[in-house]
Amino acid sequence: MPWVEFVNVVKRFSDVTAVNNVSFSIEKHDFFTLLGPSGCGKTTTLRLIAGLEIPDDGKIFIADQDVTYKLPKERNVAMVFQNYALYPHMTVRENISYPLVVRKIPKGEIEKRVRFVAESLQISQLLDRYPQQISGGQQQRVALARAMIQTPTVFLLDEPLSNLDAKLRLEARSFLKHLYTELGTAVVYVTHDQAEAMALSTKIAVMDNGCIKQIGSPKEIYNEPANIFVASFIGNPPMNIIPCKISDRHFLVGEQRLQLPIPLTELEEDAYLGIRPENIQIVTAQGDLRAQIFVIEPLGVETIITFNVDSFQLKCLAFEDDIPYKPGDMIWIRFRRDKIHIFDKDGNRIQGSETCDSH
Amino acid sequence: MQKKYLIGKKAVVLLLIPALILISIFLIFPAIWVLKLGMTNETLTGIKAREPDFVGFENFLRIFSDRFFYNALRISLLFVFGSAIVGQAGLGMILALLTYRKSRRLRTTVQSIVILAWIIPEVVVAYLWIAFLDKDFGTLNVTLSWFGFEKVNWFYNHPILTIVLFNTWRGTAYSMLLFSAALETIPPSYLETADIIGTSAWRKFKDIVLPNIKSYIFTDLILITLWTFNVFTPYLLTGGGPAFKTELLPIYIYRNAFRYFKIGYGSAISTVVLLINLLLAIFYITLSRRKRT
Repeated sequence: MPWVEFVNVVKRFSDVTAVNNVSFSIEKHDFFTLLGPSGCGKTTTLRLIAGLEIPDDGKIFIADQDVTYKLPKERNVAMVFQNYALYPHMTVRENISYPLVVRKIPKGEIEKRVRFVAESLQISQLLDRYPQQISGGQQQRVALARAMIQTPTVFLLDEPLSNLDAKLRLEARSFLKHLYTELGTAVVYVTHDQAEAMALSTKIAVMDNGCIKQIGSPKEIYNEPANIFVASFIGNPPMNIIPCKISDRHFLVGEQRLQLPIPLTELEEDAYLGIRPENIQIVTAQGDLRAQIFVIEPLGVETIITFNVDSFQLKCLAFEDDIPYKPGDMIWIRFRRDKIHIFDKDGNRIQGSETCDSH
Repeated sequence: MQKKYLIGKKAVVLLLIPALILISIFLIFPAIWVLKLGMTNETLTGIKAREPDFVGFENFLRIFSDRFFYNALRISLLFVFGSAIVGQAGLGMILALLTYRKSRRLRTTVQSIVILAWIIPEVVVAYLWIAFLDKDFGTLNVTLSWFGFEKVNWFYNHPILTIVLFNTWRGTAYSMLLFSAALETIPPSYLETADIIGTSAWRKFKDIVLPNIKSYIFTDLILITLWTFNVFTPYLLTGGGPAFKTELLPIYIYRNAFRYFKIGYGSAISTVVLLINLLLAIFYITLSRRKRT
């Protein structure tokens, strides 16, 4: 049985459908991420799990129980909000112990459990301070501690890293991943940052406009995106999507004919070709397409090279130290044969397109 | 690094001077004048109106042996406690909490109704209440008699209750609006976290809402206490009667200064009331500044 399950859940706010017929299931060991642009319904989905919103249609199960119309407190979940929601008039110790105080747990027991979670989150030295006296990263840990001490069935995290600055965010991300192994139960995580989702999750649901576009492991999402939306949302820089025509079993990109036979039958005229930046090579001999370099951005380890192919702009990642080109140069580019994705004119992946390699 | 201000210090002083002059003329100077008047036996008419004698603290000694002063003080304190603290602040808080996190339309409707009581001119309001509470034909008694209750002579039998209810009705809007605005400053996630934890409604109020709007509550209490202490409108309802049972301190001052023409004595009482107000304000401010333990 799945640990958390959504069955055809719908949530409307007056005339906006925030969550549209969403179904998924999460196992107990999953770090499940809801990923999508702002306004896609990911936070609403999280609030539906918490019981802060009641669905208009569908069913929600947590640990085999139908919780669709249950109050938040009857679901045994713990949530960390984007702003952490630490009570400013309580010390860190009071904040962490508050859930247990409310549940009338004996003082000695509370003291013991506060010490335990504070130690595992490395905030023992902060217990007597007030939230406004500690840093953002520390506040986030206190919020996590307050969630952990409730020993919930599911942890719900709503963009917990987005209030931290870039450097701290990376640190907190690693810590969160480490912490997850200690939690021993499912985590549902909401973010708009694909890197966070890839780094942390065991399972990702990519959402757009209230619908789930794809669910899968980070690897599946990255290597076999189900549609153009997922393909262009994941990865940095994102996948290149090139509108093209197919005729005589070959791609036509603008005026150029791609020297690439397609093993697939039943292809439509119009299609999209997808290729990730790291799978494009610049070659000296004749390659697949002729391109003109537009701009070169060195980032240390890698270099992003942007070039124009007819009216399209593509990005490629190069890992060499010296790039012997400058903007304006005409070059040949070559696609890694086994990394080409083909999408039909509605943007859906054509199954089997990853086996383009006919050599 | 030197802090940058919008305008220089000299300019600030210069701009403040006109305001300071006006405040001095209309507030500070009259207050001192009242203090001075309180030490004379000046009257409104007669020989002492032209040539008042300086009598020192005689007026003040007389106040403290005047049973009408203690009567007025007692009624004023009852009135402030009943209509301002329990009535306006209490009811205002309840209304603000009831409409908190509810639909915008409900809140607007309740607020509009409550504000109506606040924006109608005082004299009109007084007549509305006289009409409402009239012994024979008042709306309240007529309604009560439909349900088989006996008619009540509100002004005669429950004079203090009458003015307390009147002033509560009249002033609740202010507290409710202030508390509603204060509640809006609490991030929704504070209460949602509590919802998920399973905090009861009372504990949510006590542990989360109250500490977060404490300063607003004290501001409200200072203001409405002082306003209520100095309010004169109940005079339009009861004239201080029957038998001085609703004679608040301002009405007591009015009776002495303008009915009995003893402007000197009235000024002395005013000074005492001023000191009581000051004490109340200091009391609230110390209470609100008390460090958390």
